[in-house]
Amino acid sequence: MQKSIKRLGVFFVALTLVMVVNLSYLQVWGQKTLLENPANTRRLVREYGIARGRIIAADGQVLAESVRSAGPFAYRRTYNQGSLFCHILGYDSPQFGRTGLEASYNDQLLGRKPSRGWAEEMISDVDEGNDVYLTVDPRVQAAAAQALGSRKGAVVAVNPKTGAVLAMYSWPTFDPASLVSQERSAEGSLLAEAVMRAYSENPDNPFLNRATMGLYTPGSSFKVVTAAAALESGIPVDTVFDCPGIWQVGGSRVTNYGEPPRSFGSIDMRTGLVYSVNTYFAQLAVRMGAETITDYAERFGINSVPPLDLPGATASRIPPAKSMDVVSLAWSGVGQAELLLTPLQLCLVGCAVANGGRIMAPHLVKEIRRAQTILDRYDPYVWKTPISPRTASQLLQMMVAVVEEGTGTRATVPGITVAGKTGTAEVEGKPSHAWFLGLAPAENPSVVVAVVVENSGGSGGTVAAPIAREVIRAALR
Amino acid sequence: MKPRWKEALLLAAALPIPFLGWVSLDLAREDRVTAGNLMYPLVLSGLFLLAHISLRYLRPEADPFLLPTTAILCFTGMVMLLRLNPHMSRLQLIWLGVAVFLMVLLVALLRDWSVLERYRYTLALLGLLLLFSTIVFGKEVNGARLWLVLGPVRLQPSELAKILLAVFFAAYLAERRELIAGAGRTLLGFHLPRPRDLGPLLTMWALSLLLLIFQRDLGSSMLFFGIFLAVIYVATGRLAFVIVGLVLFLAGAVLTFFLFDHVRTRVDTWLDPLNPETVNDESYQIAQSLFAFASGGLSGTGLGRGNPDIIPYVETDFVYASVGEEFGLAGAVALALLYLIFCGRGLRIALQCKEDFGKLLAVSLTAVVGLQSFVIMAGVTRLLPLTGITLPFVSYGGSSLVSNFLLVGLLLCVSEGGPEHAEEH
Repeated sequence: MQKSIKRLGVFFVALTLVMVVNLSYLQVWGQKTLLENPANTRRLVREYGIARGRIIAADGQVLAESVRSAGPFAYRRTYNQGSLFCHILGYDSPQFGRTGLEASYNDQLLGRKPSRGWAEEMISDVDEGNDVYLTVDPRVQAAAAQALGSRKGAVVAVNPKTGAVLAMYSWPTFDPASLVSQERSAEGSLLAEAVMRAYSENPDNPFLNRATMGLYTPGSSFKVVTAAAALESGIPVDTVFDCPGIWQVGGSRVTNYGEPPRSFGSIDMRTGLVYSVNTYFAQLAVRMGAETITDYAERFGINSVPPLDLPGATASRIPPAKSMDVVSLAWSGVGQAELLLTPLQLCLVGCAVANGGRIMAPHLVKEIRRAQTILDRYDPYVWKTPISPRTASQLLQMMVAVVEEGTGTRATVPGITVAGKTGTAEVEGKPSHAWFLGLAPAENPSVVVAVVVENSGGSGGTVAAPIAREVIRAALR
Repeated sequence: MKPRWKEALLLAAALPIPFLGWVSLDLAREDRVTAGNLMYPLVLSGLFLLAHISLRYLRPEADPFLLPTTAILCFTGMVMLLRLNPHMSRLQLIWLGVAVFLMVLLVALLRDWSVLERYRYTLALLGLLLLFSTIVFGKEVNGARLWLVLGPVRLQPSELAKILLAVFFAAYLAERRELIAGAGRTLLGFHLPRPRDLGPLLTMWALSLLLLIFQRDLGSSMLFFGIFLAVIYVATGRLAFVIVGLVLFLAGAVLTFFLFDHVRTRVDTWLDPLNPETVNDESYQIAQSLFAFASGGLSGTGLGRGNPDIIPYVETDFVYASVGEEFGLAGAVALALLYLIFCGRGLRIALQCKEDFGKLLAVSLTAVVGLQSFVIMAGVTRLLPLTGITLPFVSYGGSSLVSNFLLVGLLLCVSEGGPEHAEEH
């Protein structure tokens, strides 16, 4: 029997080894899969047991905070300004997850970042998150919302010196409070489920942050980039082209606006930009060649994702130079053809002009604080330097003229020199988009505004410029 | 060093567990230490001190490792229980007192354990009566009739039946082993048992199937059969019994799988616990248990800092998951190793015992703890289908605690020697 007793002992050792291997699988190798399983509510119970940090605007207004809640989760989110900041803040829901800053600053809001140091992490739990302070100014945001009203589109305002986003508004909006609500109907279903379904099925897509994700044909607002590329590649401001109403190119044609298309005769770049002359910029583009256009477009950040601290920012698009024939090159020069820009990207083009040729990385968050102690601060840095200070100042002067005497006169703010560029983007089979890119004050710009009104049918100068005006007015007050 | 001094030193080494446990629990929960809660570690250490002193008088030469190992398991269980459910932990403390008292009583009264061999059929009958009493008098809790209700006390008779049958297996096979082992033919180098020697095996098989079918108690069913196989293997040294037994058991299990819905559900949730269709329903428990282990990781969330309370019945069947969550892989492996130490000592007692019955009794009792702990640890970690049995010494439950302490008492008795030893006293 001694032998079989020993063998039984070996069997018990084997069972223990099997257990250890199994445990190692569950707790180490297979841990991640289990933690990420959607049925795993453990993470949620823990995360919603913490008083999540507040999100606070530049003027100290609390935009989002956590309040005690009944049910399985100890806290839930409230959004004090309704849907005004919805695309910036996003929502924070145990059921639907997180979007916006609630997603990208989740670790900070939950108090996990910045780290409290290993000693502190070892001995005490986080029961309160850190506060996130924004660069966004509610006055500017409100002005943008009011000026845009119930029109599909977006407004972005950035301080070109730092990249601080002052306002970012997109319409249609959604109501984050109704999505994070934990209220249930008499039958026990979550009311927010129906709200979520309605938003998701809405063809106008209220969840889309048109400011960073909406890709629109830029139209004439892109002429700033064409002009910049020309100036940088050695084509001076006083280059004169003969600009008829219709310019024949490669078996096709480029036309100016107006019925019949307006003819401008021999004009220089300044006049071309002030009156947004398509035939001028088409000829300019063809002279430079596709390589130069795409090269400078990419130097401005097109084809790359802007380094914004908000999830989902989309790269604007210009097709590769090789794929452009002379017709699409000519139309690209006037912002048509295959070009697609986000309002944020256009705003960043304006930022380069406003800030001596350098684009500061755009950001929404200024500081992370815990009980007024600053834990982390955003350091502005240069994202791209597409043009020289000289080119920037030349562009700025031309853009001042656009507002003073050209297509952008409706962006005029009394007492302030505003520079700008309008755009009216033709869209196949649909009404045109109205664009405006505004910079102010022109002497030393501290705000750059990009506006798009989707399928408005009106021109950039009449539809978008007045919106930019209100935003600039609010920002400079 | 004398055995009792070894025991004293080992117990002293285990004592920080309840004290540190309570301090750390109080700090994690309230950020301060509540003096009133000191009652728990004091009573706990007092109980084990009492058991130790009793052994000094009653069984000075008994194995010195069993009691400290048991103590660590109990301390861990009590700390976990106070963290999970303070009300239950008070009840458990009372049960622990009863269990220690009964263990000491057993050790004091059973001067010569070989008398058990004589009463084997009485014990077996008693065990079977207890086991099947619930079919008649039982109260159904959570889909299984495993409980007897006597006034305010709920008893799980299968826990005690387990010990009684373990004693019976040992006594029965001690008598028959020569007979069973010697006979039979050899086929292809494999020693085949005679058909008539398979009688006891078939009886046990039928018994476990009955348990499975009428009481829906897969855990006890697997356990009884496993203990029996362990003892018959040690008694005869013939693997054939184990293989035939396992084949029979699997056949029975497959049969019940096709006959009974609840067995099928159990198997389905075992094979695919994270199936989105059942994960919030039939397989909720096992899925939550797996999530608990995962969130524990290598070192655990720390005592009082995890969320084991999400798992239903975490205090009883799933207490191991809460250890895995809050103490991590380190804690879960440590607990598994403690059971291995317990089994190691149990088998050592068997090796050193000179009587066949004593050897088999030690093996049988060791197998109870070894297999039961493995079946439930493997169940909550999805290695085996989940069964509703307790983790010895750690889970909440009076019947389980009392039975397991009686088991420790018996092992301690056997460890000191046989009848001739008793005569020396």
